[in-house]
Amino acid sequence: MAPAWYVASVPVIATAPGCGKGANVRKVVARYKARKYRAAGYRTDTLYCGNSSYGYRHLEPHIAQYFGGWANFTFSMAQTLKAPARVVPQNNGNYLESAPIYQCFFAGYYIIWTFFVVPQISSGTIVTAYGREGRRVNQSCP
Amino acid sequence: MGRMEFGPSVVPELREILLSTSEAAFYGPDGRLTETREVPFLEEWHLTRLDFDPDLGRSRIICVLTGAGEEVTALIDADDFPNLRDNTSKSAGWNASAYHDLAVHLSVLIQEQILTWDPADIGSGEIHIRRPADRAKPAAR
Repeated sequence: MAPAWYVASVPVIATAPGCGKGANVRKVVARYKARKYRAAGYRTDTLYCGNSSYGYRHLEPHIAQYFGGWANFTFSMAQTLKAPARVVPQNNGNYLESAPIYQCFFAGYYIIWTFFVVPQISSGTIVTAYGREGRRVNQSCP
Repeated sequence: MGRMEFGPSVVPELREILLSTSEAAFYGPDGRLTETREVPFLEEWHLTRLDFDPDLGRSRIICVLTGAGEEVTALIDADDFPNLRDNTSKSAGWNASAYHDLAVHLSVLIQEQILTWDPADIGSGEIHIRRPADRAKPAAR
């Protein structure tokens, strides 16, 4: 069975989240179910349009650095928050949450990315998110 | 017109954040908690210098990080942070920490641009720490 954070590497047409120049900084782009730190249950984290310091407008440059456009990016955010491999509460007021994301290729190899999401601890407001390309494994996806 | 300058509190606040540690929780593929342990904010990097530039004074912060034999010099210019450079504001919308906005924002940018990278992938050299363009400007409320 594929791990919970499996993402097929099918090209995806990105859906614009509607954070054009006129959009309010507190316009909600998405809400995510996020595992609580060292406790049972889930909280709700929110991605706002934000500005250059937080939210969609801050993380937008990272979407092009990832694979599959906004659709894969927001899916990876959701998977990381729901089933993180690591959660670090930091003294700058944010969690640093991460999980592996597998990018699978029909040609019989896969690339393991590490996806990071940084929500504010107290409110669940998402500050940033990004993926880091890791090693390539020359065998079919697990 | 002269260069913009940072407020004096940003370096000590940023140093405190960068040198902090916290208890991380690790989970297995089945979602079970497997381990908790202290991890440094710097991950596998070490802070070897954090101060204002000796030549440019408070208009530039120099942050030198080393890891796995690589040395990265992060250059942070006050001109790139015109609204936050005083380090006196606290924006409730995205900063609920004990620190001011600029110190918190710089810690996030340094994490994004250096600390969560493998030192071998970055290599040695200089990195200008900048924020994305403010696309909210014209009609943001």
